[in-house]
Amino acid sequence: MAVKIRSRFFLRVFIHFASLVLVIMLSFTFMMIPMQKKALLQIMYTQGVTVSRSIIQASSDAIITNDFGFIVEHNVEVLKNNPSIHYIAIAPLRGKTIWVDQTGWRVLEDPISLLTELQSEHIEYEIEHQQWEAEGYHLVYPIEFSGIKWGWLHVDFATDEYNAYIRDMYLQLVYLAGIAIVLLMVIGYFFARWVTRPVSIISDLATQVANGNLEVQSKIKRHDEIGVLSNSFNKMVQSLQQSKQKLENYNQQLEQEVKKRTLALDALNQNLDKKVKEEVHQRQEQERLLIHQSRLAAMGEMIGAIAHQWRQPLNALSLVLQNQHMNYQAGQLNDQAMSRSMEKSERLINKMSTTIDDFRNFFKPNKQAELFNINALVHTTVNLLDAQFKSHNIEINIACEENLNIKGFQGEFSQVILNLLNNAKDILLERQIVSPNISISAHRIANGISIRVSDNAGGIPDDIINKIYEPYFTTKEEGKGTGIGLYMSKMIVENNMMGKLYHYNNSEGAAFMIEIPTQLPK
Amino acid sequence: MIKRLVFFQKFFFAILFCFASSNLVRAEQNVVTLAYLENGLKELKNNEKQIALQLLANELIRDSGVKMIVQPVRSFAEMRQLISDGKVDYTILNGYHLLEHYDFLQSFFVTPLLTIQRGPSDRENFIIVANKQYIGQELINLQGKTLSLHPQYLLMKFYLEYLIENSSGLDILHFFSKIKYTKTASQAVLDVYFGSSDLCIIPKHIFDLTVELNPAIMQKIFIMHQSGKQFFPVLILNFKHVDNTIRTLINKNLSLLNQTARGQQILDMFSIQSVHTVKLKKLHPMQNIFKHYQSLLKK
Repeated sequence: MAVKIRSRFFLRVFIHFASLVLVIMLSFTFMMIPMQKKALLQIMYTQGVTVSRSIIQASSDAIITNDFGFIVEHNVEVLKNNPSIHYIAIAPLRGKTIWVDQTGWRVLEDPISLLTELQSEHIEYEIEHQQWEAEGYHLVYPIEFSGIKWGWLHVDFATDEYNAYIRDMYLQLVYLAGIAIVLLMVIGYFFARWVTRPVSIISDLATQVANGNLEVQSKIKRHDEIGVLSNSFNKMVQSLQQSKQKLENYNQQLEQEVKKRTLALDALNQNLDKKVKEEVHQRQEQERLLIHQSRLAAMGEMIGAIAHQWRQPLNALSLVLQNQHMNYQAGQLNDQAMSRSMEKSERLINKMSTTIDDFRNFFKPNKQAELFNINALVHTTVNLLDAQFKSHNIEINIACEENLNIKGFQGEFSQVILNLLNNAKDILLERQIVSPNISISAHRIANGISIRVSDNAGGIPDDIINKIYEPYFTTKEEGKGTGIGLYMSKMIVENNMMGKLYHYNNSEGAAFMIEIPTQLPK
Repeated sequence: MIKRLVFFQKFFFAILFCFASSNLVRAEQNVVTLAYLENGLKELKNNEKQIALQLLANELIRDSGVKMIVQPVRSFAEMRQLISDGKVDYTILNGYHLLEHYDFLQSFFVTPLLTIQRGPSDRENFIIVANKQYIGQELINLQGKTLSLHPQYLLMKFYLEYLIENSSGLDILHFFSKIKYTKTASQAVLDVYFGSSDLCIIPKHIFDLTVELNPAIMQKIFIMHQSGKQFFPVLILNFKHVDNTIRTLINKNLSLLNQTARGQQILDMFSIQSVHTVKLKKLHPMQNIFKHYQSLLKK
């Protein structure tokens, strides 16, 4: 299976491998070329020195005896046998230079700078282009015999062979580079494939696994880290398969369970509706009962309050009648005495009648919200219980702002205040508090009115402080309290009047706070 | 069964032997010998002569079924013996040797002879070149001067000896104060130019080549004497006992050597341009000079 050329990993490995090999190859080439050139120059140098020495050796006698005929003839022969030599020049220290080239020879009347520049004690050479059409390797060999300098031998070699060699070398390098690049491509491809193929295979398999196919298996078997990766992958897939199977089993179980529960819930739901309706009906009934009981309790309270309120005027009326009888018996019952008695009696009877009206109006439920004054309501409520308070020496302190008006259900709110006052009165009497005191205050707060009813009865015990609003909860003896007063008060304040009713203990006793918005929301 | 196999094996080898022997006899009947003097052919190095001549020989008898053996000979005496014995079919001789041993050789060789051409002509013109200070003078005026001479050029040396003998009655050793022997003929001219010698003798074509290399040398030298084109430097002799068919073939191949690239390559090894036939009468000029020289010596 061929590796996808578009695989980035494959391309990366291939490019890195190819780049590395190319860099090494180019480095080697750039190092090798100067070395080769240097070696070639060395070869040319050696060749030049050898040829020079052989010429000098062959011509030594002629050189010593200045037999220029032999020298010329010999060098002409040398040039004839060595077409690669451009020219030979024999430059004696004293005398004219003899120049021999491939076309002939001549005696140089004036020395040529090309020749004299290089003449020294040592063997010199240079590659020059001036004298000849082609490039030449010019070697100057000093001629000495037994330490005595005779002159110089100049030999100019054609560098055609050298240049051809360099050209061949470059061509070979180009061919080698071409072959190397082709080999590089092929080897690089297979190398990159060998490295990346297993990874690509595993990557593809991993993608298939990620897409949900857990049936895949890696068939790579190697004894290196790739083999370990392959084995680990297979184990992982197997493990995933098993987990998936387990999950499916759990899922099935769960579905069955859910079905069961759903059926149960459906049944429950169906029952629930019925139950809720029953409960709601029951609660409504209970509420109606509570309200009825509350009303009955309130009526009971009202009757008690009326009885209490009427006790004093009835006593006073009895006294008036007794006075009247005594005056009649004493024969002192005249018109004036009779008028006084009648006036007093009428005042007492009016007071009693007002009390009934007060109670009747107090407990008359309001059908709609009306604007009423808090201060007036508090006073009216206190008046209803004034007699009781006085009889028990309970001091009442009222501190309400004058212009506190709220829109709500006055009758029901009156019931709340009455209930709080009654409770305070009852606990003060129960605990036989010395100097019993009930304080009522009302003031404006943001967007509403705050009313506080507090006593000095010592506070609500901690064990019942959170239960006092529960219906039917009472601390009074059986028959003495219904336990629905605070429940109803809370219902009225929070449900009907959208306010808050809460309590707390202070240093003296309990305090009940009512916060009512100024206007009921629409 | 085994005995029969052995018999057939022997019979087979016997037939093979006879066949080979007959071929060998036939081969010996087609063998031609080319002899040469070892100290000749100065154009070539000693180790090259045999190979070069064998190459020449192979070219001459190519596709003929003839085998040519090249045989070096140490001296003319040995050559002479071989010729007498009929063991030599062809020989390459210096022109001087022909002149010297003509009487002996003429009874063995057949005409036409063959000669080589190196310069513009198949015959050489020997010239005497002298320093320009001697312009207007004759050879005789250069007695006691220094001569540069290429000694291996026998015919040229002979001619100089003839001139000196004829003009002065002296041999060259006594005529010249010093003879400087040069390795090449052209070097002799250079000696005159550079003033190492006063004169030299040199084949004209070599002189022309030397001047071509540096025409400026004519500023210091001049040609004092020319022999004229009358000397054959090298002659190829073939002998009477050689089969005519073979002779005709070989002579023809020799003449046509310069017509082919390979033949010309072989000729270039000997610095030869071509090979020609030459009639005996063309030898007469140099023969006459030789005879005259002989008569001068007798005096």
